[in-house]
Formats: sequence, C-alpha cells, structure tokens
Amino acid sequence: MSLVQDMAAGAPPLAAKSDAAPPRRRWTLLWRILAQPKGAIGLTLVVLYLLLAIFGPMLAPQDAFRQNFAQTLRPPSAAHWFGTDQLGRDVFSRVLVGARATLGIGVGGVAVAFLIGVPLGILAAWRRGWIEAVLMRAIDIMLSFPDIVFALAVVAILGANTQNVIIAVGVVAVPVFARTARAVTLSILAEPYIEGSAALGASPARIILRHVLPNISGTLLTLSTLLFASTLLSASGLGFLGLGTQPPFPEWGTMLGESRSYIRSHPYLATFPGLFLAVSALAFNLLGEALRVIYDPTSRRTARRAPLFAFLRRRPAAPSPGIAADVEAERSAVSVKALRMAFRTRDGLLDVVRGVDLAIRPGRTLALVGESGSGKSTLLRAIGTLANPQEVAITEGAIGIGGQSALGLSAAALRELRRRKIGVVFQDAASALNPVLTVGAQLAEAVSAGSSLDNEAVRQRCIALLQDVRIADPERRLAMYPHQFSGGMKQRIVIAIALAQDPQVLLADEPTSALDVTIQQQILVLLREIQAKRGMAVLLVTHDLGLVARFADDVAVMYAGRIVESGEVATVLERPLHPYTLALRASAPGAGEGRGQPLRSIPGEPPLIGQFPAGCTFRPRCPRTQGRPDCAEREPEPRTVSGRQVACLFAEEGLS
Amino acid sequence: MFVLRRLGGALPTLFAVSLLVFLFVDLIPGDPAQILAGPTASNEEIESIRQFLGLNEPLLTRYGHFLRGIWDPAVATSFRTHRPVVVELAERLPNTLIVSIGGLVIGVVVGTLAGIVSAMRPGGFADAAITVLTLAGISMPIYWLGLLCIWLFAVHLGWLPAAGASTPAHFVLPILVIATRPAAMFSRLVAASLTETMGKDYLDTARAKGLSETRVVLAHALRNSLIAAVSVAGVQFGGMLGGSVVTETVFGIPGVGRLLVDAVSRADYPVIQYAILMFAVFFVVINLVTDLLTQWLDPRTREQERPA
Amino acid sequence: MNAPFRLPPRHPDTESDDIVVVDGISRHFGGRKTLLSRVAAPVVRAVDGVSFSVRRGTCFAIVGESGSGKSSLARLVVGLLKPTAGEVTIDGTRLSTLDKTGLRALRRKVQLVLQDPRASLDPRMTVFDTLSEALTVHGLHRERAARAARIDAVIAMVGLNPAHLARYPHELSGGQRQRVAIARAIICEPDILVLDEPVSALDVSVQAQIINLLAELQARLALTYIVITHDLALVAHMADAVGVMYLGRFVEQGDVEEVCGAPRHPYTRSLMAIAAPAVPPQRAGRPALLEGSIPSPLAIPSGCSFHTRCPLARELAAEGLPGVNTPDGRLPRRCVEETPVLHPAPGGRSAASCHFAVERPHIQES
Repeated sequence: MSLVQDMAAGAPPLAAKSDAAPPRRRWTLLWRILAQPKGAIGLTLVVLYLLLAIFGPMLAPQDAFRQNFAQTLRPPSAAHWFGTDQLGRDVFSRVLVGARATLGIGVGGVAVAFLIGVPLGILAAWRRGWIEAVLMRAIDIMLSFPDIVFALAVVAILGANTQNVIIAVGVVAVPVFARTARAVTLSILAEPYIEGSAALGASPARIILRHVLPNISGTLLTLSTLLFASTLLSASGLGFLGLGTQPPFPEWGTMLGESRSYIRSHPYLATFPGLFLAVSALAFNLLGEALRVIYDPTSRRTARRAPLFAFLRRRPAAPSPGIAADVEAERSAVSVKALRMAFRTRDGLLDVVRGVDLAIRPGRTLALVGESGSGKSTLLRAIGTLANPQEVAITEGAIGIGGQSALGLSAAALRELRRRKIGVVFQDAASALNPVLTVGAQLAEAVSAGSSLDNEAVRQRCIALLQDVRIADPERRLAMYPHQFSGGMKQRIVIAIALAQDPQVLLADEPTSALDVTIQQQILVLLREIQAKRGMAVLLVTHDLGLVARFADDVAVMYAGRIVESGEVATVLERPLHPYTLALRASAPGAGEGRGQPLRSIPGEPPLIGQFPAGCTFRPRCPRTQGRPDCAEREPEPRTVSGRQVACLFAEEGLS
Repeated sequence: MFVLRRLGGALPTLFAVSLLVFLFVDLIPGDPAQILAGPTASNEEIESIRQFLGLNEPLLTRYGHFLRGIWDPAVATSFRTHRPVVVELAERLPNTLIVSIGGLVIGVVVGTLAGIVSAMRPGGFADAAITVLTLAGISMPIYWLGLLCIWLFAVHLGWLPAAGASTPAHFVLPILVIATRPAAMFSRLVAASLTETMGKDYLDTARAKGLSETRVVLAHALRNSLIAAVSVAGVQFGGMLGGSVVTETVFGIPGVGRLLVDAVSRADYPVIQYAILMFAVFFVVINLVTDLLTQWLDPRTREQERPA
Repeated sequence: MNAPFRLPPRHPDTESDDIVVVDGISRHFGGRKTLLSRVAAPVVRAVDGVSFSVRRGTCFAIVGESGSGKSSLARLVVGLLKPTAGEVTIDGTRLSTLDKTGLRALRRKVQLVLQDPRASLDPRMTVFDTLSEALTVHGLHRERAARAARIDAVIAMVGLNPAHLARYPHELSGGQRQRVAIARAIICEPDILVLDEPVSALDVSVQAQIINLLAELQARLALTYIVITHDLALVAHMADAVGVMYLGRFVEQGDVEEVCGAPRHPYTRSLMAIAAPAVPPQRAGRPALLEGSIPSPLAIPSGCSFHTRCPLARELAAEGLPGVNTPDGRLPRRCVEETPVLHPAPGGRSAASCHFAVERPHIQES
C-alpha cells in the first residue's frame, strides 16, 4: 500500500529513453502504467478507493449505525445524499464506512492466497518430484469446486463473519496463485541465465531470491491486482447471500443483500452500494490490465495495436506512376524499381528499405545477403505481396512479378497473382505449417485455390508434389499432421505447398538457417534441382556467404536498407569491391587466415532501423573512409565497376 | 480410447472430492450433534442425535454410508424438511441446469463472436466498444446486475416476471444475467488468442496460396486460437457455475444453488454435503468436456505417433 | 563401448598437464518410473561413453548437430549434470568426490558461456550487478573499491567501457551482450571456459570480433577452452583438438589438423565438405549429401549408429561387401551389426570409430 501511495505522490520524471541512463524501475513502472488510458484511469480510481478505505469512516457525515424510525426508506435528498435504509440509517455514511470492510476483505483474501499459494508454487517448480505431483493433484481437487461453492463450504464450517469470509475467499484463490507461481517459476528456471548463474556457482537460495523472484514479481503483481477484483466480488457475493459480514455492520455486499427486499419500491437502496462495488472491481481490473500489458510478453502484440482509424490507411499501396509500366515491360521474373518501404511506428515512419533496384531472370537464383536490420526479409515479403500494410508501408517504387505490377491490385487480382506466380518458403517450417490441419489438407488447399479440380485430381496432384520434394510414401503422409514430421521434412512440405501451382518465382527467406548443417544441404540441393526442372526464378535470402557461393547465380548484398553491391556470384565474391562485402567474406573463419591468426574483423555492429547514420551508412565501420569528407556528405549511388553494381565512392580501391 | 483414459483420470479426483465433502462434517469445530441439538439439549438428546447421524460409527463405515446416500433416498435426509436429500436435489436440479447451461452456451457464443469482431478490426469502433463492455462485464457483480435487471425489466417496464420459475419467461433474465461473465471472459480470450494467432507464419503461408482473407481467418486462425481459449476457459468455468448460486437467490429460482445457500445458513449438513458434491461432479464433467474439446481441436495433444 | 582414447602428448614432458580428463562418461535420461506414470519412460542415451582430455591452455572443440548430445556433454564437464557412468577430473579433482558446496566452489575455475547472450543475462540486472554477482558468489573482492576496480578492469578487457556498466541487457547490442557474458565468465579468474556456440546467435560481421576477443583473452589469461559448436570452420580456426559427436558418441577425435585436414570418418568428411569457405567454388565440387536426418536418440541404430545415413557404407555395399537389407537399403553387415571402436590413425594423432576408417577393404578378402 505504501508503495502505491509513494508512487502516486510525486509526479513521474520522464523515463529515460536514451541508452545512457538506466531506467529507475519504480518510476518507469508508474510511467508505463500512466501512459495507458486503462492504467491511468485504473490507478486513479484505485488510489481514490484506497483513500476512501482509510479515511471513509472519518468522512462519514452521520453515524452509520444510528437508527431513525421516523426517517426510514427515504429517497436521496440534501440531508441524505443516498437516501436512508429500512432502519432509517444514512446510506451515504454507510457506504463510506463500509469501504474499509469491503476493500479490507479483498486485501486480506488476496494476502492469504498470495502468502500460501506463491511459496507453494515456487517450491513445486524448484523441487519438482513428488512435492510438485502432490501439489498439482491437490490443486486439481480444489479446482473441482466452483469457487463460490467452495467459499460457501468454508463459511459453513467456520461460521459466517468477516474474518471467516477473508479465509474463505483467500483459500479459494490459493490454487490460482500456486498454479501461476509454479508456471512462471518453471519458465524462468528454463531461461539460460538461470543456468548461467548455476554455472557461476550461485546457491539455490541466491538463484531464487536474486533471479527468480524479481522476474516473476511482475506477473504476480498483475495476478494479485486482477484477483483482487474477483475476490472482492466473491466476498461481497457471500455478504449478499447473508453469509458474510453480519449486520448491522455495513459492507457493500451485505447492504445489497438487505436492499433486495426493497428493489421494487426503493431501487436507490441497491444503486449506490452496487455502483461503488462495480466501480472498485472495474478499477482493479483496469489497473491489472495495464500491468498485464507491461509484464505479459504475450499481450504485447495486443497492446501495440494500430491507432484508431488506422483502417483508413489500409488501402493497398499503389506503384509510383511511370515506373509501373517499366516493371511490366521487363522480361524479368521479378523486377523491383526504386522501392522504398517504411515501418509504421508510434513515432511515425521509419525507413527500412531505401531505394532498392533488383531483377531476377527466369531460371536464375539471386541471393540477397544481409545482417539483422538490413531490410532483406522485409523486401522479400514485399515481393511476395505479403507485407502487412498495417505494419509496413510501401512509400515509393514498383514491384513487378512476371511482367505484372504487384502493387495496387484488387483483392481478387492479388489472390490470382499469389496463386499462379509466387511461391514462398519461410525460415521456420514449424511455424509456417498450420499445426491443426493435416499436411494433405494444407497441400490440397494450395492446389485447389482458384481452380476447379475434382477431389481425386487434387489428391493425385498432392501426391505428385510430395514426390517432387522427395518425400517417400506420400499417400500415407497426406493424413499426418505437421508435428509428426522432422524439421527437414516440414521444410520439404512447405516447399511442396509453394510449388503447388507452378509459380514463376520462388521466394525463400532463410530457408535452412533453422536446420542442421547436413539437412541444409539436402534442402538447398532439392531447391536447386526443382529450379532446374521448372525454370523458376529463385530469391534466396540468407546471411551465409558459404551458401551463396554454392547455390546462387547472382548476389545482392544489403546494408541498412540499400543494396551496396550486386552482380554475378563469381564476380562479386571472388573480388568484392564494397568494403562491407569484403568484411563479410573476410570475417568468416576458414576464409584464408591461418589458425591462430586473428580474423580480419570490422568494428561496430549493423545499425538499427531508424538509426542509420547520415551519408554513407557504412561509414562508421568502414576502413576506407578515414580522412574522406565525401563519405559523410552523401549516400553513394550504385554504379557499375568491373562488371558489378557497387555503391561506394572508392570502390576502385578494391581492384588494386 | 482417450475418452476412456481421461475418464479414468477423473476418477481419483472424484474420489478425493467425495472424501473431502464427506470429511467436511468432521472439520466443523465442535460437535455437530451439540450444535444441532442447541445449547439447552440434555446429554441423552445429544447422544441420540449422534446415533442418528452415525457419528459413533467407524470412519470407513460412515464413508460407505455417505456414498450409499447418493442413490439410496432412505440414507440421507434433510435436518430441516426431513425429506430425502436426493429427492430435494432432484427436484431442483432441472432449474439449475437450465439456468447455468443456458447462460454458459449463450455466453460462449456471444463472447466468441465479440472476440472475433474485436480481433479483426483492432483499433476500430467495434473493438473499442467490445473492450469496454468486456471490462464492464468482468467487473459487474452479477447480483447487482440481477437487481438492476429486475427493476428495469420487471418493475419499470413490466416485460418479464421478476422472480420464480414457473414459466419459460421466468428464465430469460437469469440466463442473460448469468451469461455476462462467460461472454466477457470468452470475448477477451478469443480476441487475445486470435490477435496472437494473426501474427503467425502459417497465415502468410495460407495467404501465399492465394486464399481469401475470410478463409484465412476462418479455416486457419480461428481454430488455432480457440484451442488456447477453450483450455483457459476450462479453468474459468468454476466461476461461471458459481454464478448460478447467486443468480438463483436474486431471482428466487428454486434451484440447487439456492438450496445450498439456505442449507448453509441453517446448518443443514446432509444437504450441504450432497449439494456441494453435486456441484463438484458437475464441474468435473465440464472440465472433462473442455479437455475432450481441446483434444478434438488440437491434433498435437492426441496420442503421439512416432515422428516420420 | 568405445575404448578410452587419449592423444599422445606433443611434448612428452607435458604429459601430466591435462587440466580436464573425461573418462568414459555417459549420461542417460529417463528410464525411471515417475510418480504419475506407471510405465518407465524410454531411455535416452544423450552421452554414451565419451573420453577425452584437454591440455592446459589449449582449445578443445566438440562438434555435432542438434541431438548429438554435445550440450549435455558440456554440462557434464561443468558439473551441471551428474554422469550416469564415468568420471570427469578437473585439475586433479574428481567431480564425483565433491559435495554440492565443493562443486559450487569448483565452478569458480570452470565457467560457462552460453549461446544466446540475449537470454543468458538476467534482464533485471544491470551489467554491474551481473558482474558483481559473480564476485559475491565466490566471496572475491569484498571491499567496494576493490570490487569496482576489478569490474572496471574486466569490462575493459572485453572491449567495453565503464559507461556500459549501468545498462540493462536490453540496452545493449548482441555483440555487447556477448562481451558482458564473457566478462562475467572471466571475472573470477577461471582456468577453463566452456563456450556453448559462442557466436552462432550473432551477426556475421560481429562474429569475427568475438572470435578474435576470445583468442586474445585465451593468450592473455592462459585460459583453457572447451568450445561446443556445429561449425567445423570455426573449429579449424580456433581449436587445437576436436571431438566429432554423433548420437552421444565421438565418431572421430584428435588433433585438429588431422581431423579437419584429413577426416577419416565419413560423417566428419561430409561436415568438412559443407564447411567450405565463402569463395565461389566450382559447382562440380559439391559435397556428397548425407541422407535423412539424425535418428531419434530414443532409438539409436544398431552396430555403427551412423549406418542409416553413411555414404561410404552404401558405396561399399554396392561394391559387393557382404551385406544385409535394411529399411535404408542394402548395407554392409559389419556396419549394421558390429559396434565400431576408435581406430587410431597412422601416427596416432587422431582416431575414428569406423570399421573402414583406416583403408577401404579389398572386396576379395572379405
């Protein structure tokens, strides 16, 4: 409680956004709560309610217990703001006085549940074995009783009064705390940093106190807040049933129970205690929701919702006029012209792809090489027409697939384009397949989309596709689910789906980096064979120059949203002219340096999106830029040097 | 096969639940016979009550006796009405079933639809409205909502009867009131898990096949998100069931919940025991159904076959 | 079971200087009945009779794919897992003789650096807290000033500056995080670092920086490294000796020049062929593909566990070696039925557990 008041007392300083200052956690938390409307309203109301619980009895204008039979069941008036009850007592005073009992029961109940449930849950997660088995069984049994029924049973045993209601609602919430504490502790214990601490030699007590508790505290705080709301409601429910706080003591639930008999004639009697109760539950729920957004990683996505009216912006991007005709006229399977893309963020648009030109001829493989933040995957998604317009905007340029512009299409035309011309293979085959549908169903969908094949023809086509990707025994495999296949097999199935309608372009986003090295080779060889047979164009996104050397015809190296060097693999990798390409090649172990010799590394790390340096983006890491103001002045445009495109003002230095 | 195994798994739970409910009388501080007989009773009277309750028998015999009471009306009678407990429960069970199952079904259907709408147009007007309604639904004390509904629909508008259970119209308000909680809960669960599912790669796989967005959502996203929603909902149904206890009291419906409340306030132990047992069994069955539903929705939880 | 194989010393006078000796170590998971299930879980032989030794100041690499048991082996060496059989001796101390407290004290000498620096640092601790904790745990530099001085020294050693000390892990880049993880590992002046895939989660251009940093620290602090990786190119660059792991066993081990330069086990050969440099090769020289994937450790194939995927076995069977029919095709009888032992190579600087490692058999003889 003191913490909450403490936090509410002062105005929050702005949370430091820069990397330099570490966040001061307490203020950061408060700020993050207040930054959400839910949190701001919830926290304000919660603070008001807590003040009410503390000072309510002092503020009450009249004696909440004094009966006055001359003044029974009066409607609200200046003397009695909320009216009087059947015994002539002032309802406003009773509501104020009742705040302490009502909220106190909630606090007490949550405290009981927390103090019993959390240690049990942590113990179970830490010791595992029989302790966990027994505890989980006990929780199962306790959860076999509906909560209010369980609370009724406890009250029946102990008798109806305020203290027993606290015990009853507390005991009911114990399993929830124990369960959650166990689950979050288990997930924290599975984190590598716990193993790191154990390997450091930290004792179990230290690990629990220093690493587990701080990391589960957020979840437990959220849970306590949310449970407070439901505990409040169940406790007052008992009061309403006449089994909680006993009259004449005012508690909102008990007051509601008493008002029940007068609902026909004197509805205001039920209005005010009920309103206070509902709003208090709402306040804690709002605060809990705000905390959940902060602490629950799975709710982040929900939290980062598009702003209101985002749907107005959701119309498909149109190609820049003039260029669209260009991409349609070209014979390339894929043609990208002057493409610029930007992430939509709260702070506006952040450039991620900044003027990319590229073309893939039929039957060729273009490898797109880059590190994190280079924009390579975003570019691939845009070419695959899969860029989510809510997250990323195509601000300029044009994309052509097989001589057709891929931007500004109607939904139907877009579907047709995806079916006939584009196949996509994702990095993680496990998440690229729907876990609840059979492989056969997912293949059949791809085969039959937009076509009028009968079932048997679809089935035959599915079998043929599985054979194409070298999966033995295809008839049986069609009825199986993705989780029944190994990683390499799943990737083969994803490839089969991509090939379903003979696309002209196959887009592969790091198709093998989640796989073991020996499996990688199998998949890449398979892709190569299929490409040779079908004459498709392939776009292979990767970070591995070894793969590029072995499996691609052309290569484009991306850095900070631009292509810095591109050309035929043999030309570019044999003698890179851009210092970044050179660095990539040199930094791979086994690239010529002897054992024991340091690798030729470049300093620094790839820049983050939105923090690209001015001028040449590679300048801060570049060995060539020393004493050359030109590099800082403007971003070099790609130009042809020695048989490839390279965007460096001093590319010729690589030739000597 | 799985159904059988899952049923087998529920048996120990049911056994433990029955044992707990049975021991419940022993947990009461003091001598139940003394409490029943009242402060002025003589030792003989108390002893005869002890005999009548079978409190002098060995524990195991009494447990057997207790279990027999489930089907043998002669064994357990209410202290208050002296009628067989089984008969008292059986009379009231239909009302409780109508209210709680009706509320549950309506709540789940409305909640799922609201969740889908909310997740499909995040940030839109419908999403905002549903989010507010959902929060209100979760925070609303249903006994207060019940009272407000009685005042509005029965007293003020006169559309529906206020209390009782004699006609179908009597059940409309209780079912709607009890449906608020499951509806709010399901709307949140479905919206949250659908929003999460919408970011999954396999939806892009589906889009890349050239499927329409409707089909992507209905055939691929919804089923996956329902798995999460249903498995979480299984744990939450307890709270919803408990709602019937309060709702029956508000609307004066003669159901098991009301019977239980009356029994607790009058220390009618046999009725309390069997009513609680009935709720627990009911709840175990609901959990069983949720499990089977998850199983049906999610092939990964079915029996593991060897990976190919 | 593999016969314990030990490399003959390069310099006979340093024979006794093995800082880590692993002798026939095994770790099996499962196989015990649990409280809730009456059926015993199947046994997973994660590590099965592995022996090796590491000389002080050198780098030993353990190479394998996922499921090979290389991570379990690393944790056995560090003492985070208890072996089912066998013994680990670190600097003359047998781990099995230590109680929990003794084991924790030993951890000061043997430190672990994990793969993903994002996950291996506690998100709620600043860099300073993280480094300070390591000192607290082992009761080193208790005085505030001494502690700060030690932390400053270490942070400089890994190429960061004191301004980084106040930051939380999420405020650092991937490379910086891995530097912090390395700083935490060296702050207690250990003798041995066990590095679990130390660079595979990093961007390519950052990997080289970290590899160079590790090499520099090794020379400066006279550290012994045990590196776990899937990347033979990294092994060839960093390690002095290597063990190639497949399904819980070493199929080939020895000096890195021998194993990487002239691999004799067919599995090592295909791994080596894949780890070719990034300079465009001649397409014709594409490596022989291994078929299928690693079998489940629940069902390790009989005989030579590699026979289900071995290209050499297929060749030999095709050449007419007496064979048997298996689900994976016709294979030599010996491969399917007889468990191979480690055969030392001529010169004895490496050994491979393949029946046909030394030379191809003459078909006429068999």
